[in-house]
Amino acid sequence: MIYLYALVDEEPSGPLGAGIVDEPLQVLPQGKLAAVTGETPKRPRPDRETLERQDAVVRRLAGLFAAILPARFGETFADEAALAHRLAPRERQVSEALSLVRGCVQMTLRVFGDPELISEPEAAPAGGPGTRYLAARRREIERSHSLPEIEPLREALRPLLRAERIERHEAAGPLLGTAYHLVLREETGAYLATLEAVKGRIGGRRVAATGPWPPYAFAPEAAP
Amino acid sequence: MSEPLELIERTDASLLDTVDHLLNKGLVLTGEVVIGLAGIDLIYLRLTALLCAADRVLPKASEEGPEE
Repeated sequence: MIYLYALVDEEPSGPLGAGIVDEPLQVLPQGKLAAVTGETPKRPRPDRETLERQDAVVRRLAGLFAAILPARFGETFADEAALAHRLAPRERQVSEALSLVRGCVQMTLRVFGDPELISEPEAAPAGGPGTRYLAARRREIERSHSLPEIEPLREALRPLLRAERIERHEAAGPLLGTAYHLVLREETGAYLATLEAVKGRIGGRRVAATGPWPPYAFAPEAAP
Repeated sequence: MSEPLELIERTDASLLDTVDHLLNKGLVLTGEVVIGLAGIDLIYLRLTALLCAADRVLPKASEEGPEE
């Protein structure tokens, strides 16, 4: 079966090398896009060794393309036609995402510490119970994608950010959330230097940055 | 044509971030939310706990100045 590693829209700048089971990799043209794939006998198991191997493959591929969208682990297709069938309806969406990540890498910023207290809205929204419910749901969703605790950091980093995805971790524990930042490849040093300079401005909370990574968090959302 | 990217090769990758990125991020075309193995959920549930544990066990790894 075909195993998908990433989507791209250009030729690689060097040899693709081998995949997670040492299979040769190839670039399959798919309309305006192309898929970097290998042939695997079965869907791989998500054990540590295989995950690390795929990460190494994708990071190597990221060095061969200016724009790359990594696939999630385990994306397999019966044949090329099945891959084309899944990809065709999303071609425009994927092209836009590739334009966004071109020349960029992802920095992953974990945030630890105490959460900021939530302030309830001063006035209840007008309308009936349905309106109030939807307003409350909206606040919940907005909160799940916000980390006001690190706003001073984000303000300092903003000139370096091409895009940002935020996930708030609601589970109990010191991990407040994660900010995924898309930055130009040549500006990762500036990103880390800025972070180092301002990391003390978040009220005793701590941050841990890793990267640069291929832009895993900037692939389009899963198909409905 | 893109230029080779050296900085990717020396990334300070951690296993936990690798797990998060590969299993919880990335493009999904197949429409399958999980891969179909019970271990996936367990791996991800442990991720948050391990990230927190790592923060406690190695609190000074990236700190050189006075404690915050």
